[in-house]
Amino acid sequence: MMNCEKMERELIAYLDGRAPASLRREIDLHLATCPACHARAAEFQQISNLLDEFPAPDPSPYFDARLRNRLATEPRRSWWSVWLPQPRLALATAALLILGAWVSTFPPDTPPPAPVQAEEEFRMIKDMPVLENYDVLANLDALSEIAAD
Amino acid sequence: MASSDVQLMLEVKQGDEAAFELLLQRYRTPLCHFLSRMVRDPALAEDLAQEVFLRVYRARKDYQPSAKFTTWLFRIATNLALNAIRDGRFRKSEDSLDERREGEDGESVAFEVPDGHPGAEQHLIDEDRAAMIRRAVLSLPEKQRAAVLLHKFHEMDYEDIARILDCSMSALKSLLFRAYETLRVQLAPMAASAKAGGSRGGVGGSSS
Repeated sequence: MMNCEKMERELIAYLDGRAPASLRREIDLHLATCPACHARAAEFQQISNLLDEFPAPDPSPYFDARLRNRLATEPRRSWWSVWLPQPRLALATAALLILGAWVSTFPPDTPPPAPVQAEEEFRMIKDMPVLENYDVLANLDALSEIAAD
Repeated sequence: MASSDVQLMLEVKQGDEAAFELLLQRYRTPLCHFLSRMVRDPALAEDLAQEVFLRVYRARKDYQPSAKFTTWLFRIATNLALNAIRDGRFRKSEDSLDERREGEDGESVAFEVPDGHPGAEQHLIDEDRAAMIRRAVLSLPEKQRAAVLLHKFHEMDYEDIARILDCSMSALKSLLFRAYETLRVQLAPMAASAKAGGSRGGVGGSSS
């Protein structure tokens, strides 16, 4: 049974003659008894007629020539082009390389050095300025003599 | 007998440039009409139509006749138009009646009927009517606009329009109904004045 809500879905197809015969009969019956849908159908018909006045410019006379020019500059795929990297592939490869480089900056998974060894290293570093001072080292004997007195 | 679109496209796939020329001749005008009604700017419409043919040409090697050629062609055109509209790649209101009536300094200038030509006044009235209709259609949401244009001017089946717009048949019928409802309100004064002229034809089916 046709009602106003169903009419909303079927009205355009009815007006353009594409609704099947059985549906057309249902709509005809509804339109005969529903002034609102009848008025809407008439107005839709008028709108469709008005749309006939919607102008559209034809293509310019240069359309084909312009298109031919653009087609002439289209790159032709050559036999070696299949070996060129595809953009997506290049992007994926670059992403992998960056990821690999980033991962390689992580410190190696080695056990921490023993505390004694670390203490020795620290002492050596602390004494480094003295060790590097040649004068002090050269006069070590004189100092020992003073101490003996 | 003229070759079918699919036959021509298969020949293009085999490298036949003449077949591409035939498709160009067949669809150049309908595509330009559709796109100019979609995007308002005729220059942009022509650029987009060129882009459609370029894409068809580029896709020739991979072409598979799985759908109607026109459905494929207008689907490309519709997607290009929708993208252009969403990107804002159209010039504003070049055909706005209000702007057309303004002089360079922004002051209102009166329409002049050129040199007493008998049809000139009627010509201006027709232009005004056309501008009002154009504005009403261009004010529709893009997808509704595309639905109305494909249905009204390109004699397409509902199934094909639904495929072009990537929606269900039910959604398409709803798009069309809402579009006509909006147009009914916007063009009510014109429709009322047209009543005297009586109705003609059906809702769909004006060719291009």
